[in-house]
Amino acid sequence: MAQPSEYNRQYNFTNRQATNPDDPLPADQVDAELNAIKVTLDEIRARIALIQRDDGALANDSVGDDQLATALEIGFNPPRAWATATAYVADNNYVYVDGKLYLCIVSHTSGTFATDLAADKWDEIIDFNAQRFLAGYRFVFDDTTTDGDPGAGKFRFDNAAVASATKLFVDNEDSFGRSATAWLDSFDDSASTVKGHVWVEEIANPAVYALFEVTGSVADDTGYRDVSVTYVDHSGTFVAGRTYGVHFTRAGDVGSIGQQPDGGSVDDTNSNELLEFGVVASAVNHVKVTNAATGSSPSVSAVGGDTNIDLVLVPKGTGAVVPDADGTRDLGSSSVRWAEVHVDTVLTDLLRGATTAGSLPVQGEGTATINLQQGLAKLWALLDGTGTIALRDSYNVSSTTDVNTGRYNFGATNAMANANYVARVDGDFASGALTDAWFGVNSYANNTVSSVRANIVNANDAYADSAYVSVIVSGDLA
Amino acid sequence: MTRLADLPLWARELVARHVLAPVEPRYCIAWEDPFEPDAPLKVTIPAPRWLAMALAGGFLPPVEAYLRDAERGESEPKEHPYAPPIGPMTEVEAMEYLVMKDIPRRVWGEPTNRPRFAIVRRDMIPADRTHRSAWRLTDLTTRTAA
Repeated sequence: MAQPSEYNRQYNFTNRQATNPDDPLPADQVDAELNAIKVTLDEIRARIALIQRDDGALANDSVGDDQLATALEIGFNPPRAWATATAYVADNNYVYVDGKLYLCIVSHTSGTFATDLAADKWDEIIDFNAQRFLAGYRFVFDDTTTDGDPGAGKFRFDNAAVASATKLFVDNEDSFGRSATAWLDSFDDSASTVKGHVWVEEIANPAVYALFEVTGSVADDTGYRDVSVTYVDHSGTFVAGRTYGVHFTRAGDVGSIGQQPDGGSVDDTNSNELLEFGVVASAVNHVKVTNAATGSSPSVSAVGGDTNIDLVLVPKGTGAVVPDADGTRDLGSSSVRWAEVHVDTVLTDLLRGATTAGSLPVQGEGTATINLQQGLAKLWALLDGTGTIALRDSYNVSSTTDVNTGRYNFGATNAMANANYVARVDGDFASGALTDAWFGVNSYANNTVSSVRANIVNANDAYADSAYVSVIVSGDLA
Repeated sequence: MTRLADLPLWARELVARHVLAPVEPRYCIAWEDPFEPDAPLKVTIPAPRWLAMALAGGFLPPVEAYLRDAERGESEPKEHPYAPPIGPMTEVEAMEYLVMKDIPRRVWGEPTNRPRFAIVRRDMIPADRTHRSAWRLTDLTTRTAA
């Protein structure tokens, strides 16, 4: 703001009075002069209001560094961060460099701080770096590595190589004789895997430090605490007898999952999805996962408001619900057993008995069970036994042999276990009349484990070729 | 996932019914049993579904498994249902396999002064069975030679 306007008289009232002694002073000139005076007076009043409060004291914020005389020395001038190409005044300017406070003792224009410091242009007033552990616990380092009381006010590692240390043995009192037990015991309070971080730093040399994770419990041993740690980082060499500040930062407890939106998930430590949640409106049923003690099985249950609810397992795409990832356990094994399974359709490569692999019981019409394997046809064939004989269709037949008129052998691809099987053989109606009926007879004497004989006779009790020779074998496969 | 080769033979046959079309054989085995010198010629024809498995490969066990099983007692466990399957065969190879599997060894595995079997085309077998009891291998081989 500029200074108030200067007042200069514009009319010579003396000359006017001398030449016109009988006339009054010209009123317009008087007003003009008074108006000019008012302008200056008003500006002076405005300027005074800037520097004087109504109580007569100096106005707040009206005096700064510039208003003080250079010769005035009261305490420290406010320190500033050091800057190059700056004019510094001796005994007047203070700067911070690397945690230290310096006073300019030779007026100069700054270049490089280290050069100026070496030239004695600055005087170190205080090193704040060495003052950081004024608060907190201090312990003296002991370079023994055995598990034991390190001695009053001391601590040690369990390994001479800091990077290999897995234990901190810390005395119950620090080097000032203060009890540190409550503080040390709190190291394992967190429920997280990493319960916190321990920072150990040499008081006189901050370049020597070590950082550990607290990953185990704190043991209350006689006179000292045994802290299980995992090494993270360190620098410099720990020297026995030197004092170190020990600081502990506690990790938070593992939190609950909290409310999840539809599609919300729980991630693993690699930030990949581990569980995904699906949400429906007004849900009343949910899944419960229960752990188990030794000898008991954990469970996944359907629970909720409904009395009877299914637990649905849904595979993706063409995937399937399998009892075990290795695919080798079946429903009848001791590891996976369901008392009763309800399915609409079973798709499988094999049905096998659990107690006896070759015996699969099937519920009969009453309460008794029958054997599935014994009820199956182990070989069947339908043959045109006329002309050049030809199989119409078959199962487990490798060949058919035209032995003679009305006599045929059927070779089995998979042989029978023994020749004591049952073979049902039949012929056909040649013309629709009973007298033309062809009857099939199994010739047991010609049966072997790998071949079954079908003989066809007509109503005249003579061998006869049939266009439809059928054979079905029941028994045990080899 | 169960592999085809892991299944027993009878289960592989069930798979074959769904994945292989039957192959009508072009050849058959005409043979005579020295134990039945008065019996007529026998004609063994491969089952079309068996031939399909033989040509496809991966279903049938090696014929040696059958031959070893033939030496075993009736109550002894058999090898051929669980032997690993062999690869594909030509139709002629399949016929030779069938000779050893379904024809008695005395027909093809013993020295003789005359042939006891022949692998012939099916159309060489008479379709007229009026004199079926009179069929002889010599008639067939003579006709073949002619």
